[in-house]
Amino acid sequence: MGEFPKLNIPLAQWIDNGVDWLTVEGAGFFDILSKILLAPLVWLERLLLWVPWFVVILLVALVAWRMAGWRLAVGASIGLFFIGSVGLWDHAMKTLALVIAGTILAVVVAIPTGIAMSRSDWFERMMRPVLDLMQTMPSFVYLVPALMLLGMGKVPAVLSTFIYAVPPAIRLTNLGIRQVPADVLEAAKSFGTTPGQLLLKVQLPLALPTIMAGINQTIMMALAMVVVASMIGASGLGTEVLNGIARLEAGRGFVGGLSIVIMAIIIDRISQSMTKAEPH
Amino acid sequence: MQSSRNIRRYASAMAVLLASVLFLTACGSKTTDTPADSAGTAPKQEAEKPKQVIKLADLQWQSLWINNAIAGFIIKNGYGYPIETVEMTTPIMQQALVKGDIDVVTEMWTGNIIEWYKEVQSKKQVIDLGPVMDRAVQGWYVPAYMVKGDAERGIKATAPDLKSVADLEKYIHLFPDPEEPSKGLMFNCITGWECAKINRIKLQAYGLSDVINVQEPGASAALDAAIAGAYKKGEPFFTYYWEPTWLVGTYDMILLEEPAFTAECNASIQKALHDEVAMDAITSEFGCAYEDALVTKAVTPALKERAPEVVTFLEKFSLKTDDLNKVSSYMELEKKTADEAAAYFFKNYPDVWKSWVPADIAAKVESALK
Repeated sequence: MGEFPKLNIPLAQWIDNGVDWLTVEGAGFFDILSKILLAPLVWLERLLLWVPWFVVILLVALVAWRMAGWRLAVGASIGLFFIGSVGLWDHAMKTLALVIAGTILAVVVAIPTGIAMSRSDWFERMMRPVLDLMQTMPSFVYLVPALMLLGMGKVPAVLSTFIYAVPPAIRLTNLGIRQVPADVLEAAKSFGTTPGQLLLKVQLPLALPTIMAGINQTIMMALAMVVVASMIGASGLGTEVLNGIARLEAGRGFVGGLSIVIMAIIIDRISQSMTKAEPH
Repeated sequence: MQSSRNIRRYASAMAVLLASVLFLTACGSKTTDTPADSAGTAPKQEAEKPKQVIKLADLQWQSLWINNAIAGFIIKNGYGYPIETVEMTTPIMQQALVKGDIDVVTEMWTGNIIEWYKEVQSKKQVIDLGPVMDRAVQGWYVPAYMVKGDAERGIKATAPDLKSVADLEKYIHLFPDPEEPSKGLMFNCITGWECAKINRIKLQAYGLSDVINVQEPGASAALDAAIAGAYKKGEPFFTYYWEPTWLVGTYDMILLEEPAFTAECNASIQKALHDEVAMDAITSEFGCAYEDALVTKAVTPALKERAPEVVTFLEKFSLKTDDLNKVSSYMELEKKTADEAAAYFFKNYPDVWKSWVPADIAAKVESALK
């Protein structure tokens, strides 16, 4: 009684067939994509691992001091020293490389997309459900196809991070530009600015605090993906968490998790202060 | 299988503490778990003399589901006993079997609980009925097309002489690490499992650690997907895996030979595993195959008393691991239930299962299949 009518739409089967087809027929394309993304990733990771730890701590402290004051500089130094002292320095640098790469990729895509959305209501309406999908689709769902197409390792990890982390930067770029007051735009136009000048000299600078808030969110979400990234073969702090879980070593998992939290707080405070430090 | 075994290994310490609490919940879930087939037998089962329900442990992994479905179907339709499967973990199973709360375990992975298993057998609390499959192995695999080629897909044999781990070094250029193309890449066992570290120890022992990097998945699904993707593309790869599994039944892979397992070699590996030997002090004495796991069936003495004919059947009940791989593959790829997989087995392997039971029982099973 009241049973739901069965429509038997073989959606899952279509998706499976599609992934199989892409795996075989798209092998060449995904191979090239993989190589293009992997080279800078490997380079960045090697760089971070090559720089001595105290230089990294000094650099972070310097940036923190300039951007947010001495309190954060001291706090960040202690936090990073803690990560190193529990033996997770290399893991932390690998994670940092992944987060940086994911964030750069996200920003490069997000700013133009956000600008395009702010200029076309039609495009904005099109993009909104896409962004909803990217933000809410459980990441495990697209990990399996990503692994089949790209294999294990850093590339599927950084792409999954990108998918999950890019929406806030896009949304807030769009929002920031749309929020620039109409009278300011009118004034600029009355001085005879071209559309290009209007965007670069008026809209983007005025929207910058909002855009930076979006990028801050993107970085935080990228960090939230590190455990998932480790599941698909990109080692880092997430590996420690997974080790802790698999071996029921709560302490080990917790230390790994704590290191992620420390990195998140440092990156969050620094990038937030960038938001505030940019008065238009 | 390996997953359950390894996780169980780590879980057992915690589980001992929790077992008594969990045991109560397990008992509680049993009554709600009653499958439809035993619905006909009223709650007052004790009052009916013949054919009391026979309970099988459901330890939550695929080959056991299939074995339970096959054995259960024969017990129910051939011998006329209602059956019931009870979900539980290994530590709970250990207690439930001794107390007689369950009657049959169709896959007893003895390796990790061998001391306990010997003890309960000597106390006559549990009866061992012999192996349920001909081999349960873990080791290092390459796809068969690397060695034999695959004419259908137009893949040439790129490593025709690759038979053992000693031949690997010649072929590392076939499966390069994309991050460091001068070295080979191994898909390792899952992060945190013992086998992940043992594989690193063995790579060192075979002198391969300088030429082969390992890529470690954080979940068995990730390893499966990576293997499936590479296999579908026809790419050469080199991976750790285990069987019986649907994956080995689906993708034709060759287990590489290793020096035979010995107790001394295993003792060395265990030392390295527990950091009593430094990684760079590992020599070739640390390199040998994994031990074949002994997977048997176990029943309670009470079952032997009340249903000796079922115990006689269970004694003969045993599958070839290759067949089990194939049935698992059917279940996984066709998205079937364990019962449907069992039906597939009965249809395709009649000689196997008819050798377990007398002709009259086989006839009853046969008619129930229609």
